[in-house]
This record gives sequence, structure tokens and C-alpha cells, in this order.
Amino acid sequence: MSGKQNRNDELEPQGAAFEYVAGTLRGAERRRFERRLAGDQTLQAQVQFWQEQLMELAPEQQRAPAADTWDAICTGINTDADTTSAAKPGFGWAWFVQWAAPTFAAVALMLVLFGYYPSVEKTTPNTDYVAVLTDASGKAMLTALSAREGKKMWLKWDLEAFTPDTSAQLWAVSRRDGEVRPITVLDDTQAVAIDLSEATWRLISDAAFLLLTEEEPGGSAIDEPSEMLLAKGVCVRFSPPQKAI
Amino acid sequence: MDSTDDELVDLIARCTLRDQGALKRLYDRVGGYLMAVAFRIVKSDEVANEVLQEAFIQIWQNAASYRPEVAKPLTWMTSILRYRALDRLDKEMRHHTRITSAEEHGDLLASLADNDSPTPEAALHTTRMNSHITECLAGLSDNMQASLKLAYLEGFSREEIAAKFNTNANTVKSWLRRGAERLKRCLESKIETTN
Repeated sequence: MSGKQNRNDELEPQGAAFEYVAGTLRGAERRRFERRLAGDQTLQAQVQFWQEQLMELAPEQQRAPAADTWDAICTGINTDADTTSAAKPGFGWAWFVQWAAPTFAAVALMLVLFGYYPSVEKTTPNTDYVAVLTDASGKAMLTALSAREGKKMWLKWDLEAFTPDTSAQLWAVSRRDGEVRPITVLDDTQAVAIDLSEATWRLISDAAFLLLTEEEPGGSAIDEPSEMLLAKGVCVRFSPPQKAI
Repeated sequence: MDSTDDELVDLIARCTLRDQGALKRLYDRVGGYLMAVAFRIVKSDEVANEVLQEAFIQIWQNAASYRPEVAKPLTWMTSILRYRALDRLDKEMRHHTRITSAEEHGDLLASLADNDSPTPEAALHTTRMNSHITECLAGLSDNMQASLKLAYLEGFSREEIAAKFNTNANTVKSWLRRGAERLKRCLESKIETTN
């Protein structure tokens, strides 16, 4: 595509978003748009608008997949974890596997403990978000369950006690912008439930994962987590929000 | 959000817990629909199955990033599939083959018009025919309507659409973008009226 066309698309993002969804942005033009899309929330909203609208045009047809397609999918998802876990550092898949595997095992246990029994039939779980925070070895330190109804977070401690003369602070790492924001300061491991404000609830519902850090008594003075990370865990949503947040 | 959406959202959420049974139920619920979408774009059963496979692996991998307040579950999954199908078209550059193959199966433009009739297989989104987009699309010129449907439903590039109408790709781009502006205005006014 020419430089003039690039400039036109920058000036005319609505048209480019439409063509991206319609499928007529191809090759380098499409890749350029996707790079821009990744960091542009307005453009993401436009793409989302067209995706939702144009979906209505699709005919309600069915076509049977090949008999072996499901087996190929199973093979793909079971081998993918092995191949990708070594490929991506940081908060990518490697991080997910490292931290989430013990997390999910612990979640399964907590679901039983807290009375949530997944089944084929539709259920209405009373827990919206669960995070099992584990230390670097994968040992569960804290399980946090929260529910929009009643705006509560329940805590189940496996960490016996904090270091004397310190507090612990719980943080939410935003899925949306990656920012770390404080949820609450905890003075001991006796706390079993905390009330959530609307703002704190939003932090949790937007959280990719939660962090628990050791802080000076009363919590971080600079509103940033210390380097003394006690545990962290993926924040898993169990049911959709009742309305847009 | 209707009960179908609720069920799909629930299954996607369970995929975040690495519940392969949930993925299988998702596959059973929407696999046939997604396969039909993929086939219309890539015009090959073999490639459509590969695209479906790639899409479900991505659904599995990205389940934790799905936000039900942002997108309907079927829209999210269909978008993943469509972009994988478009990747495949980009990669394989089967343009000429695809057009020829499609024409062998009859008049594509006529078949697009038939899509406005409900099908016996209708099982998902039963109220679509009453959607705003259908009404707004009717207000566009025939060329704009056909260009959009060929692109979105059949995976045609600008160049392929241009060949169909014996014009050039820039004209098609202009049709699509002017059509998008009019559609957007029409849709926004209808959405505003509904709200």
C-alpha cells in the first residue's frame, strides 16, 4: 500500500476498522492495522462495534466438521502448553503455566470447600472471581474469592503469619492497562472477609491477577508494591457480570 | 444477554480452568456453525477444518481474556475464526482458485440474496433477520451491499470484488468505506431510537 493510503487510514480509522472486520484489509495493510489496533482503545471499540453488527449478516448455517478435527484440537491444546511455555517469558504463557498450574489445582480444592460444584447442567455460582495466590514454589498462600452480590471478598489463608512488624498488602494488576492498584492492607492472617467498595470491586473484576506483598506496617506509603512478593495468582472469573462495568 | 449467551460464557469461563470437557461442549454447540463460516471464506473442507482447529486452540488459549461485557460469546469466537481464515487466505493466496470454485457452484451474488431467508438449520440468534444491520444495509446501493457481503461472508478481497464488477480495487474500497459511513449513521440512529 502506498504512503498516501497509510495516511488516509490514519485519518479515516472508522473505514479501516470496517474493512478490517469485513476482511478486505489484507497482507501488510492488515498487519499494520493490527499493530495500531493493539494500542488504540478507540479503534478496538470501533472494531468491536463492526464485529457485533456484521455478525448479524452471517447465515445460520451448519456444516459438519471432519470426524478427526476434534482430536486434532485436543492434540493441539495438549501439546501447545509444552511448546509455548518455553517460548514466552514475563507474564506470557510461561508465567501462566508456572503460576497457574498450582493455582488451578488449588482452585479445584477451593471450589469443593466453598461449595461450588461445576456440572454439565447450568449452574449459578455465587462466586464471581477466584484467585489462588501461590509463592514462587507454587505453594498456596492465600485464596481469595469475591462476589459482586454483597461486595465481599473471602480469604482463606495457608500462610500462617506475616513477618513481625510488617503488614501485607493485596494488589490487583489490571488486565486492561497492566497497572498495579491497591485493594487492601492486611495486618494479620486472621482476616477472613473484607468488604469491597464499588471501586475495589471494579479493580478485582478487571484484574488479570492479584499480588500479595510484604509492606511496612499500615501498608505501602507510596501506593506501590514492595519487592517483597509473598504470593501471586491468576484471577479467574466464574460467571459473567450482571451488567457492564 | 440471553440464556444461549449465558451458557456459552459459562463454558468459555470454564476453559480458563483448563476444563477440556467445557471446550468439547463449546465445540459441540458452535463447531458446526463456525465450520460453515470458515468454509464460505476458504472454499475448501480441508482448509476449513484446519481453520476451525486453529480457532478452537486460540479460543482455549485466550479464554481468560474474553470479556462478556465487551462482546457476545459467539461474536468473539466467530471473530477469532474469521481472522484465522483470513490469515489462511493471505498465506495461501488462493484467490483465483477460490473465485473459480465459487462460480462453479452457481451465481454467488444470487446466493447472497438468498441468505436473507431463514434456514431450517437456524438454531443460533433466531432474531437476526430483524436486526438493524439488515434494515440499514437495504438502504445502500446494490454495489455496496454486494461488496460487503462478498467480503464479509465469502472472504473476497477488494481485487476479487473488483473483478466481479469489472472495476478496480480503489473503487471497491470507496464503495466499502462510503457504505460503512452510511451504515454507521443508520445503525446509530436505530440503536438510539431503540434505547
